[in-house]
Amino acid sequence: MVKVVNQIDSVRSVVFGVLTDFDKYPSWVPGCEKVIVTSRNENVTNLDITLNSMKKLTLSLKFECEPDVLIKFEMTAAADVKAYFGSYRLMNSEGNNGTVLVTELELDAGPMAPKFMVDRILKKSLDESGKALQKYAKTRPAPAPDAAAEPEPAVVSKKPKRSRCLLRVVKTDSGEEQVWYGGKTFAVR
Amino acid sequence: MIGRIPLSRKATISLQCEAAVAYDVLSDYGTYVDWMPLVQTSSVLARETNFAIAEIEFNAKPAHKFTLECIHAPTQMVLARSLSGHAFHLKMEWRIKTTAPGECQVTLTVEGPLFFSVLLGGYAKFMSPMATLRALKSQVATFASTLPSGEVLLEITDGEEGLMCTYKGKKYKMEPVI
Repeated sequence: MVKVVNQIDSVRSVVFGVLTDFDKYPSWVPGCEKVIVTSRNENVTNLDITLNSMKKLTLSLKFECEPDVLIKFEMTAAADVKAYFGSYRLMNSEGNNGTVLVTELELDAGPMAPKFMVDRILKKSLDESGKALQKYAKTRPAPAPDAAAEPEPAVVSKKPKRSRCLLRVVKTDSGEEQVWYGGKTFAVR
Repeated sequence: MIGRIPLSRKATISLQCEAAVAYDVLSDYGTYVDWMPLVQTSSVLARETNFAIAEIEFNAKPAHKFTLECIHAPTQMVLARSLSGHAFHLKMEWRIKTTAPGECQVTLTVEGPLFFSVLLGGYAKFMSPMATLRALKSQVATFASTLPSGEVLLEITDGEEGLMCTYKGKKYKMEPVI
């Protein structure tokens, strides 16, 4: 399993929109030649995709989407690949309105392709896809104000900062002066 | 290939603080730079309830940022590990156990490639869990209630309001000059 993190300067709903607009994949996903959506219902889409990177592959994939949060995909049929599955997890970027995209992908190309080599190629491919997504998402319109106002799940409110003492100098009841620093107390002589 | 052989080390320390304090320090990945030995930068890219993505950079290899996926179970466990499928495997697992009221025990297990500790001296301290635990002890001490009592002549605190200084009974807000 290869895991890659990409930071995208677009809000989560835009990134989710790009990732679920499967018909448009050939216009931005590096190496994607063709996509044919074979069925689609509310959150599940089945499609045939042709990828041409290290080798030309045609895969039938099933995508399951949880709006703005998670997209899971898995292979339902393919001629040359034993297994192909993964996910996109979308998170709000800290400190700005961007998105952090965590992509996981597992590809089992059979005994002829060593796993370490496949993983290296996948990582490179996912890095390139992340850059392409960043570029393409910028061309997409921002969400309508009411859509943007929808509550986004799994967002954590910031915890209040716990107060800490860095330095304290005191005069004790016995008149001695003490300095506390880094968890240790020193007497002043 | 020898550099890819994983090395695992483990150590335990007792801390004079509530487990929640240790947990707060350990799950605040962005402040690792403040206390963890040999860390040059640390930042949180994204955070959800029990999951976060953070980046950490070591002095030994500046400009190379490790992306970590972090999982935390309140007051008991904090786990930070490099993403799977990458050249360097790096993992820190912290287990926190309350031993008595106001006291806890923290066990740190670190995993990394062999050459982190053997070939590159800059990483050696990272692969020494006891050095990291000692640094944690100093950090949590700043939150603990073991401060000397008496008339406070001078005090510097860091909290929600930022850096504050108390001197001769008056409180001042501290701002960076540069």
